[in-house]
Amino acid sequence: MAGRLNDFLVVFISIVLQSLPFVLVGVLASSLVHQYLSSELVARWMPRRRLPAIALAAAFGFVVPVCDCGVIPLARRLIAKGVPVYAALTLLVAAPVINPVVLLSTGFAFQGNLGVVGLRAAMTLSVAVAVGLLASMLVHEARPRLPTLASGLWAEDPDKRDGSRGLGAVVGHASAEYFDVVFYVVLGALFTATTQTFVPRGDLMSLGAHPVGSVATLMPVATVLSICSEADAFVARAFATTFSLGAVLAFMAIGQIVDLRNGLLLVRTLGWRLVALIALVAYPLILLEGIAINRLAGQ
Amino acid sequence: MIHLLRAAALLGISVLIVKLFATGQMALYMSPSLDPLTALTGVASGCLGLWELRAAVRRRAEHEPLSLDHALTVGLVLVPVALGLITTPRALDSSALGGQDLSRLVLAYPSPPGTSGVRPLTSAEAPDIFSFLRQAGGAGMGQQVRAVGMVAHSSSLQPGQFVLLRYSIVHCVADARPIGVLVLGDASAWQADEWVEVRGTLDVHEQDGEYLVALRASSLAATDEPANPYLPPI
Repeated sequence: MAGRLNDFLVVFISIVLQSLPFVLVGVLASSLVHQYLSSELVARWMPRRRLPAIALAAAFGFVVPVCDCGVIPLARRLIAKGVPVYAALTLLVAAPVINPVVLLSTGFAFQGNLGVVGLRAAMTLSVAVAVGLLASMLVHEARPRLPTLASGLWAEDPDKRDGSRGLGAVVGHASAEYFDVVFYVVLGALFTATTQTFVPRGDLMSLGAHPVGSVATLMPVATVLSICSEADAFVARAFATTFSLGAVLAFMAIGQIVDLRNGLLLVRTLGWRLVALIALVAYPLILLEGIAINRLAGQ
Repeated sequence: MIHLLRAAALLGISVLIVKLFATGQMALYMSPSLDPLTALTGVASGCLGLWELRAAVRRRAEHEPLSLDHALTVGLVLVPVALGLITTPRALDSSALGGQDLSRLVLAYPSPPGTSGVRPLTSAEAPDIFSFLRQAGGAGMGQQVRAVGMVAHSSSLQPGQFVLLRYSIVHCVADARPIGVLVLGDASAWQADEWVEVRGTLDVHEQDGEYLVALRASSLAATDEPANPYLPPI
């Protein structure tokens, strides 16, 4: 098999294989929420004021061990259960990075450098809170009309069904939602494998040391590479010898918020408006933070 | 029909995972550290597939509408499954470097290395260079080591030098990172991407203020691609 075609195939299939367990965990969590978390309970526990609600959503991110694949169905389900969109968006942005598994893997990759771990978490949290605050001002509907997924028929709302409960209902729903999600994971894997294989990375390295150019260069690279949040720190560490500290941190922050692999699923789940909001907040904010870190680090 | 299609896709995923484990090809896609998780995914997919098959049998009398969306979704999911089942891939080689300069991928010591602090090696067999570097770090100059990798040539290297190329992965091939070891020895007779075993002594090569890990070759021989061609993170 020709070199490039072989590279494309192994990257494509490996992204799908790697995503499947996390998608399964995500849809199972979503199905459990779907079946057992009532809208009334959510209404009772969710703070009415936006700042405490955003803070609670961000704090929830610390304890939910889901990656960027798994958090999307969970956030979508929480919105359907009455969690305000701005709080769900805060969780969506924060959880893939600030959960303990990812923070530990970041610490491991950077040989216990707590500064890198803390800055990564802080950059992600800043975007999560900013997105949450802006969404709370811009999205006025309590439960906005979200796009119906391709197989919406498979993901019917159980509140309107015949009251089926228990393991059977959870499995049935998880299976249906699995296909909603995995369709976009496969599509994203196709795009990611194509760009990883056919877009040359060599020229990018020449911009590595520039305090602004290095940050602006590595951010789209992270979006294109779409590496899982539990693995990206190890790739980022490889960049650390060539790129500035701010660029490496920006790579780890933006890659879990705006990435090609999950972009299509996110658009299908939340709609263009909310995804554009996330991207328009995340890109400039992380760029500025990366540049500021370079300045403070004297790079 | 919907349940039957879903069952086919889920059981297909399960069969693909079984095939990759049975043939040893899983190591070409995923880190062995994720094997338990991948195996669990295969089991879970199989169970879900059987669940869907049961639903299909129970509802065979019902005429569920099959939309284009359903067919497209399952069809797309079956693409990687079919590709994984029918193809026999190779490990990533130099074509995956994407134009990156080889000399910038070579392992380097953070500071001038020395010979102190090396753990005494009891084995008569020369240790693998990557394992040894993990243990000894910047110590151990002069240690006899062996290294297996792909031959990589570059115009940025001096005559009598080549790079032994490997990739390290954390989770899967999508996060592969190229790693090179500078070999001081002649490999002009070898084609790029050929797998070779180099034996020699661990050395350092100072270049542009950097202390590159170097292997002063005493022998060079062709070898098979390892069962797991990827290294854990270094």
